[in-house]
Amino acid sequence: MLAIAMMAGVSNNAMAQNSAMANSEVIATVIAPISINMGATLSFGNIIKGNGTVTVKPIGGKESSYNAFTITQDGADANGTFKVSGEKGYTYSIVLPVNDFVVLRDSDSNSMAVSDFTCISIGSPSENLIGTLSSKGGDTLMVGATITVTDSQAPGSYSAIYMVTVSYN
Amino acid sequence: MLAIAMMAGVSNNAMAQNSSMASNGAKATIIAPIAIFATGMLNFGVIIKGTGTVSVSPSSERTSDYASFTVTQLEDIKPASFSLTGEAGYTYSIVLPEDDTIVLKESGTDTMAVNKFICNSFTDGDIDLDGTIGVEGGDLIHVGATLTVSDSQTVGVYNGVFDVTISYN
Repeated sequence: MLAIAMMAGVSNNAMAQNSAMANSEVIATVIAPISINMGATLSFGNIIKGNGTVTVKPIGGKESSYNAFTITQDGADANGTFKVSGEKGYTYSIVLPVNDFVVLRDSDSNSMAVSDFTCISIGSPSENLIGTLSSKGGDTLMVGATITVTDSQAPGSYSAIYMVTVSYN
Repeated sequence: MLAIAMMAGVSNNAMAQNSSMASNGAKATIIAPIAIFATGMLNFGVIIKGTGTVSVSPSSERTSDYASFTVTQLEDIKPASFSLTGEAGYTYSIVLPEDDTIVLKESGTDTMAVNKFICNSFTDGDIDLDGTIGVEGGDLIHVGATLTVSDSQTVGVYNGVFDVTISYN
């Protein structure tokens, strides 16, 4: 009787200990994709031709290395804007066009190169290539740049398009 | 084997009480039971929603068939880890969840399926469903898997649980 009891006990334990199970948690965090949409056009306004540069700052306002501006007939100069949306609180990096990649042209193919693109993110407001999405998952990028004008620049209206790329850090 | 040895031991004692002779040729090797404990959760990290899959390997490498990763805002990507105890040098087999059995859920009703579980045992050092208890009587296994994400996935944190069973071969 004792032997049988021992057998039962031992064989019971042996079966229980031949295999074992444990469970583990799995976690994944899904975030919204980042996207960027065009807002206001970057506009240098009216410029008197001459040798030098004209800069529009990302926060608006323009300056020049020569006497490029009239007093009141400046046209509508404005920084460019972009709307960024994505996951709240996440940071992203910004890629602006390299110098002289964007060239403004008039209808006769006269040109002015654009350089020194700069930007400010409302979410992390310093002039650099980093932005932060708000608690609602949005941000606004403000973009400025510099154009080079020459003494022989043909009068007219010059335009071009430029691209801004954002990606999550 | 164990059960028989115990029987022999008991009957030996019984015989010793009515006989002057005792001999015993029985032999048994008692080994440590096998046990498994979860030591770290499987974390797929931060995933930008889209259509495709994200995999975490047992060696902590994360791959995806679409642009699902941020650069630095990742969280702690890692495979699940388990520690095992048992008899040094003994081999064991591992049972991982079958495909279409594990589903992660977020706080609402949205889900993501986890499939293709794979594991790596530390002592063997290869990815398969066999392991060997190390010389110190322990082993580690790391478990990775593949998550299926959809373009319409709700943003949020998803959780789930899976079982791992080990048995002596």
